[in-house]
Amino acid sequence: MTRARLIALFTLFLHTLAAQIVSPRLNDGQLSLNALNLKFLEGKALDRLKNGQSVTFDFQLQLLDGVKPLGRTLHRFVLSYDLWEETFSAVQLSQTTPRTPVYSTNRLKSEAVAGWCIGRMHLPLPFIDKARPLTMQLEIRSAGVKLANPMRPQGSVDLGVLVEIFSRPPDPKEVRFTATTQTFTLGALATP
Amino acid sequence: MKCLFATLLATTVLLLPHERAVAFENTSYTNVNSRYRIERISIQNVTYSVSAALQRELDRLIGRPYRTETIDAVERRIRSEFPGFTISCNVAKGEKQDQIRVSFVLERSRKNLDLNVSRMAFHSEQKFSFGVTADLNLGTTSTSLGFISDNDERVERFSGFRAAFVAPVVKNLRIAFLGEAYQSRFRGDSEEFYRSRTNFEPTVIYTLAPGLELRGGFSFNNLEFQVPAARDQAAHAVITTLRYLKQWQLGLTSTQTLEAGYSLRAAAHSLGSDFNYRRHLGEARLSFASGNSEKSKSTLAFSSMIGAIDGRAPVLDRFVLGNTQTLRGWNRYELAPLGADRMMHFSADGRYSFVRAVYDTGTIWTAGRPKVLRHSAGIGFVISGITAMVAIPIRSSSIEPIFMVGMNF
Repeated sequence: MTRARLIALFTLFLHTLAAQIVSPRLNDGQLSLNALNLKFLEGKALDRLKNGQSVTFDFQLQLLDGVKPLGRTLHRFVLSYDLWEETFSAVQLSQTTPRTPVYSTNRLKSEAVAGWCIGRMHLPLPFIDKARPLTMQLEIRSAGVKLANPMRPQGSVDLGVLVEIFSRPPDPKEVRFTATTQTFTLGALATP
Repeated sequence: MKCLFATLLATTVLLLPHERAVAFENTSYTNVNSRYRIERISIQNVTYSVSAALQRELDRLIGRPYRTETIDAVERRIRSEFPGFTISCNVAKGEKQDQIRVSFVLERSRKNLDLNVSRMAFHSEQKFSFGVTADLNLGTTSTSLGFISDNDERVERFSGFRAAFVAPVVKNLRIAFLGEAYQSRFRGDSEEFYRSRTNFEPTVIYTLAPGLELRGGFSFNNLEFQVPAARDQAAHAVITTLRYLKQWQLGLTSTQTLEAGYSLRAAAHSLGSDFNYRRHLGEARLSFASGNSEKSKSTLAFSSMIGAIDGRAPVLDRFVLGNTQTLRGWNRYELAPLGADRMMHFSADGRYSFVRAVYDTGTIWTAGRPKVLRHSAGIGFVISGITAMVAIPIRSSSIEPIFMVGMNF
């Protein structure tokens, strides 16, 4: 292999790493996502975080058969930025007991935030033909208005609220991020 | 080659997110900075003084844990105290470890070009008064150009243009130029009535203290008379105005505003004036509003005016009562058709939701003549800042209601 080819291969590898990639994963009979290098923290939301404020993000993960949704899961996360340590903190709010934090993490670097949040989201396996081509779609939205305390009523994480949020067109003030996996089959995922 | 693979491996490991979740600790704060304490909290770019209550609230937060909902409550409080400002909150590391600094920056919200209706009123005796203004704000300078046709403020109906320019010179000092050109119309005939007038006012405005302004300069008025013969007369004067404005927060939901002013207009032959007089006017207004004064549910205001002219003043500068602002219900042509050189007035004005009621009392007279204290009352409703009101003079003889509708009264 010539040096030029090696450099080209390395550049291609770095480009792949730099690209935002989501891929499906089968874990304990549930579907989830592997996310690599997802950068949804930017713009005004990032400015607000770096100004010491909390920003609430709603995550939706859908399993799609073409455009037909076969299943979806919705979660609300509250992010904040530690002004002294310069790292991010994330809190997942409960859906069963609204406005209650259930899991948290801290000292995350920017690129690891999405991975932690996505790692908290799982979809049950649908009973369909294992050869049917499917895709998974991730959608992230931040509230257009500042939610000072996401556990107050306006920050309610009731499932109905999240469904309503993702059913309406995005507000121009919102941060909206979507990523879709390549087409896959359940059969291929199950094969080690 | 080994080196290359080692680099690839290291890059991959670094870019992979590390997933670890811990059960949430028993705390109700989701912001990681809530473990830090507030080292300093301040308000920047304040033109007016911060109320003592707000300052106490800011001071009380120093040393306390950082809470976003508390900071938001403080921001709302500042917003209600400074309604004409855009407020941004900056949070940063403090000087000491694990402490945070919070600063609120106030910027006066204004558009580069702003068109507004400065005057719009209908009075069943005085008919329409109307004014539009275009304000051009470039940097720290303001320019405005307006057209007005007013039959409410003075003895005359004046129609024409006015232009003003204001620019800062140094800190706390601004210069202002005002130019006006009007055609005048009067009811009836008199040798004192002029056909048109122009005015040029160069002034300086000095901010003595937050909310306290002193304005001084000159007013060069030229009046064009036609009766008994065409002639021009000048009413050049030195002008001085002292104004004070302060707003306080009463509790969390109410505001109290005090406005007071004194103005002196001294025309003298030494300035090239054909008139020689001194016009004194003192005004005060105290108002209470529930919530932000612009969107308050209820308001109560008390205002008073007292004025006196020493010497022979043109009709232009004489006092008037019986319009949309004073002795509402009285016809000004009945009280003093040529204006007068003495005046006292008091008004109480209350609004709850869309219902508004006013009570006015005052007297206007010419020195040496008897003065009569008059009263009037009015009731109406307010929708979107426009008031429609019926006012009556309180007297024993026949009562003719006066109907008024408009804004800014």
